[in-house]
Amino acid sequence: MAKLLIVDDESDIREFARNFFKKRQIDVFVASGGIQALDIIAKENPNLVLLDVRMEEMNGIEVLRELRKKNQSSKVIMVSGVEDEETIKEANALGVIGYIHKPFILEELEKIVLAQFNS
Amino acid sequence: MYYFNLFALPNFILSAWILFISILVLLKKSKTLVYLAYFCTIAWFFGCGMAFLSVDYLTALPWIKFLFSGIILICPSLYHFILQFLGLLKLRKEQIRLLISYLVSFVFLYFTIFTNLLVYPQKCWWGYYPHAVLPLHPIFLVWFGIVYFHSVRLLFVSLYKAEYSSRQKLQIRYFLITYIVTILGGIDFIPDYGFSFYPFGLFLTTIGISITAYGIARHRLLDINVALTRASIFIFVYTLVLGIPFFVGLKMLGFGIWLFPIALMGVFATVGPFIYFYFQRQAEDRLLQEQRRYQATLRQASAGMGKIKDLKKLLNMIVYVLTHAIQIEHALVYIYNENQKKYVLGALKRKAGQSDFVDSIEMNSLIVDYFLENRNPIIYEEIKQKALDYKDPKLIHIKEIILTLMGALVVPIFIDQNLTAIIVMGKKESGSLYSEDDLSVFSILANQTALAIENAIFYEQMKLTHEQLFQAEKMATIGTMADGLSHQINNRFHALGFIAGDAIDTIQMNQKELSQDKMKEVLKELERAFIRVQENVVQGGEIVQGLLRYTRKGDAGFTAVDVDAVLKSALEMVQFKIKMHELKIVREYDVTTMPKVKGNFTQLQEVFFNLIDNGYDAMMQRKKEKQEPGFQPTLIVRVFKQDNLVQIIFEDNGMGVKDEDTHKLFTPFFTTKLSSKKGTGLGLYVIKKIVEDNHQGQVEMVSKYMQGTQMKLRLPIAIG
Repeated sequence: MAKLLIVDDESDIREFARNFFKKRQIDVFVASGGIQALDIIAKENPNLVLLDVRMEEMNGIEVLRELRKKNQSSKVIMVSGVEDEETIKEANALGVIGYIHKPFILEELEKIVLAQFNS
Repeated sequence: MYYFNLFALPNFILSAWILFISILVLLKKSKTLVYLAYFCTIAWFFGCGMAFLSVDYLTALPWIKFLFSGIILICPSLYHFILQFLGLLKLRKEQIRLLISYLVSFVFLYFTIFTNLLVYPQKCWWGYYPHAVLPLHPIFLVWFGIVYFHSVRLLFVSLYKAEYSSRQKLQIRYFLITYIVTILGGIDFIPDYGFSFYPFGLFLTTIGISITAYGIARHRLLDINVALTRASIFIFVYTLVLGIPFFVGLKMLGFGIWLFPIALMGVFATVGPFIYFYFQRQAEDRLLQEQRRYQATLRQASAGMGKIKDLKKLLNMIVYVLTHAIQIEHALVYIYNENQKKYVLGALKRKAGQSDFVDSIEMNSLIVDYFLENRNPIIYEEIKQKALDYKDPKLIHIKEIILTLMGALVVPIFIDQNLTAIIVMGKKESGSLYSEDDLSVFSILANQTALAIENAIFYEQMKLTHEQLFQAEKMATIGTMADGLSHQINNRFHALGFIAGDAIDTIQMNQKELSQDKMKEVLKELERAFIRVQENVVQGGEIVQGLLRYTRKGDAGFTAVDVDAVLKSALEMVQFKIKMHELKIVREYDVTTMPKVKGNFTQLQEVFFNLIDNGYDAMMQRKKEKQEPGFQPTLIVRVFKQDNLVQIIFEDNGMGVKDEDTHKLFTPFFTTKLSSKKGTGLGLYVIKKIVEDNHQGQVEMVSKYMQGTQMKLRLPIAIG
């Protein structure tokens, strides 16, 4: 089963995205913060990580940096709200599959995720 | 024994005069040593007078010794006074010189009193007079001269020294004149050697002494040139006025008893003008007492006017002062209103009963035109008379206007070329008319009123500008919160989308087989979804409400404000700008017992917002620059009552402020923040304006660079 990690500090996002993807037989893990995310990545090695940029304690870029430091090559898609050029540049430098801007609907997300799992 | 000798008369008169002057000087300046010299002079004059009255040698002897002792002591005592005045008494060499002079004078005193080796009585045609004995008398004169000229030299030199004030130098000039005049008094030594002329030197000495007294005692000294000029003119005129009759009389009548009444007339003629001026001033003061009184009141009022910044209060104060000081029936101020383009009644004070006052004056009114042409006040009675005399229709019309205004006196108030206000004053309760004197006082008052009104108007505009400034600053601040706000709002939409999406998905996935249980499960899931939708809507709504509250202008009014509530609402806003989880906020106050502030909630919220924001930035800056492990940015808020004020202290452990920046901190647009995107630079300026101008409080900053900052606010306490 494909493993998906959703990292977002909003509980509704985690809950309903998980509901959604569980119905598609995807193993969904959730993390509310960067530290939790790194933990799960280390343990479960998900196929795809949906990483929210704006989080309270450790933001998405920092998580990405940590990942790349540990040579973790997990595929990451950055989920961003209102981001500026710099953040995008940094993310690209650290290596991300892509970028999606909030708000977007689950249908769109489904397409992207499935595309990744199938490639 | 003694006989009546006319020549002794001047001596006694002058002794009395010098005694009188000594007492005056002692009363005014008790510390001065000049009285020593005065008493010696009195001894001289009096002794001389008594000697003149003496019939024989033996009677005259003690008086001659007495008078000469006085003369001997004059020199060192004058020297002593000069040293004291110039502050040279502490100098060693001068102290020694003074001591020597006193010692030498005591030697001469010995010779005078116990021997006849200095002087002895000699009968002259005016009476007994000291006769010099060689060789001691000339030696005495030489010594006298030495001390005398040394004193003059000291005085002269001190004119060029910087350590004496200009007032002291003026006094020194007076003393120098004294010395020069009194040396002429030295003429009186000449008869000592047998030359037979009346020793009139004592008159010159008296003049000199009077000049000295004037220089010591008077607070405001006449400029010396003025004094000399006046004295010269006086002497010249009087010498002519008195001298000519004397001379003519002598030529025509020779010496005789007529000299006595003429001399008396001369004395009275000299003294006369002074007596005249004195009484005249006294009489006029009494007559004009009333007027002087209220003029003084008005002068005081005009001084206080500049301090009142509220226009309404100022106008009320003006009419109140006018009616009370001058005691008139009523006073009104019409002030130009920009919007209505006419002069509107701004303030009025009246005796009970009167009520039909005009409430405005049109711009095109003839009286306005009149004032624009002549900037002078109008007295009703005068213009009424003028209108009758000249039969000028314009004047008649103006008179009518003033009648409707019920003014006895109308004063225009100009700021530059603009007629800003018109003050209408009613009749004086005493019934008397407005005088020329009154008008001159009112003119001055008008000028000051103009300035005060201009000040008040300016202040009101400033306040308006400030309000606009606060609003602008708030709007600008919202710009800096755009990130945080939009992120939050965006998240609501995102969450709503996911919730709806998942719900739709559930419905779609379960459209085919719908057993009872499955139906229940699906409905339960949908229910959950909608509950979450509502929650997100509520949250979104709250963000918008909070923003609206923040941006709203808010009342200008003051209430009893709960500081904790202000803090909460400030935090509610500031969360969109800063990362709240990084900041630890410590509240050091008891919510139940802490005092309430008399203030404006919205404005105080703005103050708190800025303080928290600034503290946060300072702490982030420190975190970034010092990189201390385990550094916890902490903001402590303390609230307590102090005297009758509420003290609020925001203390952070941030970067602090460098000493050289402290005084610039509250100026607009000055910022030490790293990224100028973070602020408007107006925060502290606005805080200061709100706390100090609007709340009459104080804001103080205590900071240690690299350690932290305390922002202390003192605000009025809400009573009740």
